[in-house]
Amino acid sequence: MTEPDRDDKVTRAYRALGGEGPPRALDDAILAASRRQQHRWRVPLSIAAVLVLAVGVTLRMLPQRPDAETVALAPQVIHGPQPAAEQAAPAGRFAQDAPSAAAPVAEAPSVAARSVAGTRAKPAERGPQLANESAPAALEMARRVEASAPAAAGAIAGSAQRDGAEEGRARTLASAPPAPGAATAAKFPEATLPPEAWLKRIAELRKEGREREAQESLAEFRKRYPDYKIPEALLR
Amino acid sequence: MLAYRHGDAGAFEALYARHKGPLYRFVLRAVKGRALAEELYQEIWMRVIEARGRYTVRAKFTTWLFTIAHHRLADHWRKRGLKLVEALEADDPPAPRGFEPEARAEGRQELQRLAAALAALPEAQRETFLLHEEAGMTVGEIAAATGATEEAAKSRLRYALAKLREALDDD
Repeated sequence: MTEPDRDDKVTRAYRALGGEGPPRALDDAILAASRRQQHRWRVPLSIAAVLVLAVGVTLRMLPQRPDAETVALAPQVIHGPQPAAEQAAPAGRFAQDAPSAAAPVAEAPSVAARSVAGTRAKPAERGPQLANESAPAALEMARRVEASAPAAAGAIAGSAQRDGAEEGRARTLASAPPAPGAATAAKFPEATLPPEAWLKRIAELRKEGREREAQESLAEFRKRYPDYKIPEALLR
Repeated sequence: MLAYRHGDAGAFEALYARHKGPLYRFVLRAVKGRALAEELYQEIWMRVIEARGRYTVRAKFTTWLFTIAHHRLADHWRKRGLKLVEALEADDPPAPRGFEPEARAEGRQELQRLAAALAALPEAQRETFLLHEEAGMTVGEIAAATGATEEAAKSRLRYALAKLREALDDD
């Protein structure tokens, strides 16, 4: 389509009429409105961003539930390459996890076995942290796993043997309090018990009038668990 | 406009600076009364600001801006009982409007006749002429902005130019 003929005379005359613009106050009002609208848009956006961040931080701060990774550590204590009696014992943090972690394992051994098998490769980096912690509750948990979930424990033992990296971690964990040797185990059979049970056994020895055995057992206990808080009744 | 839509307030200021003069004169010369023109002018920019989220690059920004202006003027004329498409000239010769005092003070009869002739044009023809002169729009762009066919836009522009030329030549 062709443009209609331009009329230069009309255009020139029209331009000569003047090129006035809006008053300054009108400019300011419109520009202020544009900035306000921009701000109005950003406020909800900022609030949403802050909320997302807050929820994220809160979720991260919530205590973590024991997961399959935690469960996966337990069997190593029992079924690692070294005999159970000489195994290292994991740790305080582990001990905190133990009660809740042990329960699901006991109820569902096959699930535990699957979890262990599925997550064995992941937890290598937790070893050093665990090595600095004490082990008794973990031992207890391990024992419960063994008692209530033979299938799971068997699977765990098999898989532990297949994985060399796991053996390395087991050795790292061995820097925890030393396990009783064969001679010690013979002299103090209760040394293979978890610490609470061991102390209970010492109390029983006392009750039975076997004071000397109780004292020796207590001395051995303190040697193995120097930081363990012993009930006042036993110290008397 | 896209930059403003994405949060760049400075982009709007640049757009505003570029288009404020043509749009202001377009509105001022399309309606009667400076106060009304300024009210409509501000409303048009507010519509631009509010519509930024829906802006997409389908045409020149100028076309988009003057389309919004056209709709606002159409609303105004509709409220006043005027049909934009075939609005008739007023019975009384309208006073020249929207021109700088200097232009009037010059006493040049030619310019005064042009101003009067422009004010007397039917709304649709005046709008077409102003879009052509102030926004620099082609007939096709005017048709797109006003929702008219290109033939209608071309016809309006021709009639407007003829009447204005006649006024200038009327010694």
